[in-house]
Amino acid sequence: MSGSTYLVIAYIIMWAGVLAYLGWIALRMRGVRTELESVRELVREREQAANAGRAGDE
Amino acid sequence: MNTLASDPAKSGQQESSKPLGKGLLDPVRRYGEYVLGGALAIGMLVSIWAAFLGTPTDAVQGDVQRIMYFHVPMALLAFFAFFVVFVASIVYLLRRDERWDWLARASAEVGVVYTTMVLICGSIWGKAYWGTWWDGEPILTTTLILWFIYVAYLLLRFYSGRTESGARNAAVLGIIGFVDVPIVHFAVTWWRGLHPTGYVLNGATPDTPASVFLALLLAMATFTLLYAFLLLQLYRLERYTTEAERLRAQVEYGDDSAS
Repeated sequence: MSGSTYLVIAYIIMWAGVLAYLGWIALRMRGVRTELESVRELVREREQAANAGRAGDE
Repeated sequence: MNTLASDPAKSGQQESSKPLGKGLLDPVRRYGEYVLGGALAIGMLVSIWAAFLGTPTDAVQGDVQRIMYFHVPMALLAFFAFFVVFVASIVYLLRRDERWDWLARASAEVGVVYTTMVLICGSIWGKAYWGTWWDGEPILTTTLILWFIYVAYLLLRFYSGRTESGARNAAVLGIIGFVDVPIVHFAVTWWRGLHPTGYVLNGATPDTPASVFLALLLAMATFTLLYAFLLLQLYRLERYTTEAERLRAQVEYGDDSAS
């Protein structure tokens, strides 16, 4: 293989690696945001249930 | 469980929930990331153009020398990333504020990615120029050791979970591991090997055209932007993950400290 071929291989690996890593971070970010939203929703539901219980006691 | 989340006073939860510079920094928070992403995309294109078309072909090495335009900046920024881990780990041990721990963890991940790229591209360059993928010379060996140290750091973080003891142990490893960075940097002068010494950055070649320096500077700027962008994303990922774990603990165990 010539030097140009090695150069092209190196550039492809490097930039494909960077882009794949950016994509992986985006997937992780989406996953954790979804998790955060669902847990926030659970907390809200619990608080509403607790408030409703207190209102019922009164 | 001895988690960072279980002791908000120690872990700096109250501080981390405070918005820093609210109002004044709002436009930066809202648009800064887009500006950074745009500058990064432009920088990538310009750097590739400069490396392929804006610089002359090396008389000795030929085209394969162009690997240097991202190999060198990535190596220097990997060192910088580990320096950030070193500083953030010291500050974390002194203040026990989890935001420094998030920063150290994020910077270590970017540093490992950069070092991986440096090793792969360096190996390809070695095959083209030396005729071998790997040679046990000092700078290659010490760089591989550096990679193992910070992979171990990330594995420690992963397997110890988000515990305070895990953060403390990782901080110690982040500080001790940094000792290898100057060893890698000076390996080419302490133990002479095949690796080029101070090819351009030391100004050892006065005949080097200005376009080579310019292409290197452009690549340096681009990879610095990429480092900043990745660090920002990973830091935010750490923050969201910690918040999600706290809320989950609150829901599952009724842990009031998690709120």
